[in-house]
Amino acid sequence: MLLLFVLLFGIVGWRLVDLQVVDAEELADRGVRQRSRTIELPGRRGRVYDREGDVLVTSVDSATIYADPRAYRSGETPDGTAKPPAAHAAEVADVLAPLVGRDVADLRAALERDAHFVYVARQLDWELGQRIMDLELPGIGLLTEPKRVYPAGPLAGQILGFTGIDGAGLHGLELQHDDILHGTPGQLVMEGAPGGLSIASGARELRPPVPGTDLVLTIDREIQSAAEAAALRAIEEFDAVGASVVVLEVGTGDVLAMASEPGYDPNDVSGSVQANWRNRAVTDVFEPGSVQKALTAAAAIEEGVVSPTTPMVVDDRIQVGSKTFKDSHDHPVEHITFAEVMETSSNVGTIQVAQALGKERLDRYLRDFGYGSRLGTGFPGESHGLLMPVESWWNTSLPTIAIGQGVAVTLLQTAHAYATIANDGVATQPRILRGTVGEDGRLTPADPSPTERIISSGTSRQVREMLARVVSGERGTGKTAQVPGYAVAGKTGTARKPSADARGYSGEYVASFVGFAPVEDPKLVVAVMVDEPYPIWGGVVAAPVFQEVLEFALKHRKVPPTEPNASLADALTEAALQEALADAQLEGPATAADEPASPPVGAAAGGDGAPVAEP
Amino acid sequence: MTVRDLPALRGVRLPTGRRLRSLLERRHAGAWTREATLLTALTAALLVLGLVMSFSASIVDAAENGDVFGIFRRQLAWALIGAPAFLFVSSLDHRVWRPLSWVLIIVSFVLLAIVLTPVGLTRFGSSRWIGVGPLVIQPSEIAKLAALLWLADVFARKREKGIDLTDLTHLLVPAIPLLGVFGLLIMLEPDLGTTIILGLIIALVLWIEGLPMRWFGAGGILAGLAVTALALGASYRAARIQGWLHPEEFADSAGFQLLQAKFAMADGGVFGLGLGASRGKWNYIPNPETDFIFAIIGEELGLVGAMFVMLLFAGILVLGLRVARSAEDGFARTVAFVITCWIVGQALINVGTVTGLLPITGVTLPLVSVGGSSLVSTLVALGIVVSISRRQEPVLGSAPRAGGGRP
Repeated sequence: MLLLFVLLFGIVGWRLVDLQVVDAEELADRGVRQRSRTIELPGRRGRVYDREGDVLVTSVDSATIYADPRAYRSGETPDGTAKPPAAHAAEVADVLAPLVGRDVADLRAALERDAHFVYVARQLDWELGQRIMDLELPGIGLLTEPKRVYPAGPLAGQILGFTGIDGAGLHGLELQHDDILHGTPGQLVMEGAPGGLSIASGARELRPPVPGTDLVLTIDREIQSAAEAAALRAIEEFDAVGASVVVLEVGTGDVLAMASEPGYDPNDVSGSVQANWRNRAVTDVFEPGSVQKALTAAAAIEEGVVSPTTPMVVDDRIQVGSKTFKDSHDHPVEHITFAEVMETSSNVGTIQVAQALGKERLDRYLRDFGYGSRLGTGFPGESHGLLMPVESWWNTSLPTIAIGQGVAVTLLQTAHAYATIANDGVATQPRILRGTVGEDGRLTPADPSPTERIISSGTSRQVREMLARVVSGERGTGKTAQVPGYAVAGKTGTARKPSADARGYSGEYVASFVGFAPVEDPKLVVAVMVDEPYPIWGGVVAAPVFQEVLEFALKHRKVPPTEPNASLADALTEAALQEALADAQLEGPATAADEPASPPVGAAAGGDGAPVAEP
Repeated sequence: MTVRDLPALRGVRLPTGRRLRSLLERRHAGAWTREATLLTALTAALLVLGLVMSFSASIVDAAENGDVFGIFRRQLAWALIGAPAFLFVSSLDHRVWRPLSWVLIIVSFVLLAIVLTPVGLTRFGSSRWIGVGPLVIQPSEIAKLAALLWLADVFARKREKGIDLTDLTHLLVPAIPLLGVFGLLIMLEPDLGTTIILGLIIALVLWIEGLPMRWFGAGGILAGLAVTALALGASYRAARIQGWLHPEEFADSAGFQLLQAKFAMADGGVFGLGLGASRGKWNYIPNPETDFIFAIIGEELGLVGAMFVMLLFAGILVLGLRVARSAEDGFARTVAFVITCWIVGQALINVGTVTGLLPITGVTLPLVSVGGSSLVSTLVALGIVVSISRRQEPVLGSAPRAGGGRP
C-alpha cells in the first residue's frame, strides 16, 4: 500500500513540476493573454479659439448609454444551471425610450438583438446619463464619450464645420485641420476578469493619450457676430435668398469675419439644411459686376493706358461686334475724367479703357489679383472662381469681363483683390489660422502669409482715391457706405445672375459692395454680397451692410478716426442715404446681351463644391 | 426500537451535555505519543494553511455576494467547531466508536434520505446539503466516516466471534450491501465524486481485512464499468470526460475549469505570485475556494507551496500507517489504516483533478477546501487516528489477530 502511495505521490509531484516549471511559460502566457484588457483612452480633440482667445469649439464629457442584451435573455451559468433573464426588454424599453427620446418599439427591438452590446443613446448630457444610471436598470451601462460642442451656437458655423459622432472632422476647419486637431489615443493595458472586473493586484501599463492641438483663428468673434447680424438683416429687409460678408485685415491677410447667412448651428447638424453648411464666401462664386471695374482701372493705370484725370468722351452706349453695351441710364455724350467714369460706374467708359488696355493685359492683371485660382487658404471646398483662358475669349469677352460679367469669383477673392489695392499694391494671401496652441499652452504663430506686389504703390493710391470718390463724391454710387469719422473707399456692384441652366442670364441680381477704410492708410476691407435682393441695387442693398459692419469693425479694432467731427458726418450719412434711394438708378446692372459674349458662369461654376458628409 | 436499545450500546451513555467530562474520565485514551504530536502538528498546519487559502481564494466570490469575509467567516466558524472536536476525539478511547458507529450509520442513512426530499438544498444542480439554521451540512461527508467505523466494528465483532474471515460471504456482507445502499443514495443527489470515495473507503476496509487481491481486480473492473456507464449516462459527465481529455478543444465549456487551473498554476511557477495575488480566483477558475483551491495554492505559493502541501499529506500517510501497524486491536488497525488512506487518497485525487491527471469529479482537498461538514468529519477522523496512536492497554478479547489481514 505504501508503495502504491509513493507511486501516486511521484506522479502528482512530477505533474506539478511539469505544469509549474516545464510548461509554465507557455501556459502562463496564455493566461496573461486572456486577461489582458486594452482600454483605449481618447486623446482630447483640440479646441478652437477666436483671435482674442474666446472658445469657439471644445469637447466635453458626455454620457453614452448602452445595453447588454444578454441581460434580457435566459442564459446559463458556467455550472450549466439555467439563469432567468434579469429583466424584460419591453419593460426596460418603456422606461428608457422617453428619457433618451427614442421610439419604444425601436428601442425594444435593439434590446432584443442577438448581441453583447447595443447603443441606447449616444452623447447625452452628463446629468441625464447619471439620472439613467441611478435607475439601476439591468443590463444598462454608461460610457464616457467626448462630445464636440460649439458654445457660440451658429456663430461662424460654416467656418468651424463639424465632426461626426466619433469626433472625426467632416466639414469646415474641423475637416481641414483634422490632422492636428485630433489627439492620439492612449492605452491602458490591464488585467481584467470575466464580468468586467479589473484584477486589483494585476499589472497595469499606461500609455497616456496625446491631446490634439488647439487652433487660434484670425476670426474676431465680435466682428463675425456683427457681420452675421448685418447679413441676416439684409436678407430680411430686402427679401434676399442669402448674404455673405467678408472682413479682411489689410497687410496681414487675416480674415476677421466671414459670414454667410442663412447659416446653421453645428450643435444640431442633423436638424439643419445641408445647403447652409457651405462657407459660401469661399465655396460659391458670383459674377462681381461693377465691383470689378476697380481692378480694370488698376490694370489700365498701372500700364499707363489712362490716369484718373484723363479726359474722356463717354456716350451712353457702345457697340462691340454685334453687341451694344449700355450705361445704366440714358445720358447725352459726356466729357468727363476717368475718375468720374468710376464715380458714376459708367460701363461705356470702362469698356473704352479696357479696349485700350487689351485682353491679354486685362487677363494677366485679373489673374494677378487672384482671379481664376484658389487663394491658398486650404479651406475645404474653396473655389478657384472662373476666368476663361484668354485664348478662349470671344470678341465680346473683353468688354463683358471688364465690367464684371462673364467672370465668376468668390467673395473672398473679391475682398482679397481690394485688400491688394488697399495694401499699396501688395497682395497678401488671406488666412484663417492665426496660430496653434500645443501641449505647452503657448501660441505658435502661423507662418506670415506670403506677399507679392501686383501693382505699384502709386497706382494703388490713385485707385484708392477714385474709389473714395465713389463713396464721398457728388455723383458717387456708394454714398450709403459712408462711416462717420472715417474716410471710406469702395465700389458698388449690381450683377445679373446666370440662369440655373447656365444658358444666358436669369432675371435675378446679385448686389455687392466692396471697400476699405481709412482711405489714407487702409486697415480693413469689407466685402458684401446679397443674393437676389429686392431692390437689386448694390448701393441700396449691400452698401448699408458694408457700412454697418465696417463701422463696428473699425471701432472694435480701435482704428483712429480720420475726421474728428463725427456728428457732422452722421448728418451727412443720413442725407446721403435719402439721396442714394433717389439716385439708385444712376448705377445699374451691366448690360448683358441676349447672347453673352462670354458664357455666363452658371451653377456649374459653383466651385468644387464642399466635400459633404452626411452627419 | 430506539438507538439506546441496540445491543451494541448497552452500557454506553450518549455523550451529551456535561456527561462529556465523565465520559472522558472513564474512556480516556492513553499517554500522549510522538506520533500523536506529529499528527496533531500536521493537521494543524493543514488547517491553518486551509484557512489562509480559503480566505484568499474566496475573496472575489465573497465580495460579489456583498461581504469579502463572508465565506471565510463561515469556514472559520466550522474550524472553531472542528478543532475542539479533534482534540476531544483524540483524547477519547477509540473503542467508544465501536458502539457509536451504529448510531452514526443510522443517522447517516436518515440524513442521506432527507437530502433527497425537498428539505435538501440544491446547488449547482445537485442536492447534497441540509440547512440547519445558519449551518449547512453535507450528510455524505458524515456517511463516509460512519461507513468506515461501522464496517470496522462489524469485522471486529466477526473476528471476536471466531468467524472465519477468509470466507468470502463474511467479508462481503454487509460491506457490499452498505456500499449499494449508501452509494445509491449519494448517486441520487447526484454526487459521483463522493460515491467513488465511499467505494474506495469500503474497498480499503475489505483490503485490510484480507479480501484476496483477485477480487479487487474483479471489483476494479466492475467499478470501472459502472463509472463508465454513469459517465456516459449523464451528458454533463460525458462532457467532463471530454473536457479532461481535450481541454483545449473545450476551452470555453467543459475544459474551461481545468485549463484555467493550469494557467493559474503555470503563472505561479516555482515561487508563486505571492499570497493574495492570484489572478485565477478573479472569476476565471470556477469554485476556487472549494474543489480547485489547490490551483490557487499553486498560483499564489508556487511549486514550493504546492509541494509543501503534498509533503504534509505524505507526513500524515507515513504517520497514519505507522499508527495502524502498531495498533493494539483489529478495529483500531483497520480504522487508522482506512482513515489515513482515505484522507491522503482524497487529497491525491483532488490534486489529480486540478492538475488534469483525472477527470473533474467534485472531490475536495481535505482540511483545506472550504466546506464545513467535510472539515469537521476530516478533523474527527484524524482525531480518531491520534487517539489510536495513544496506545491502549491491551483489553481482553481484542488482541490483534495473529496472521491474516495486512500490515
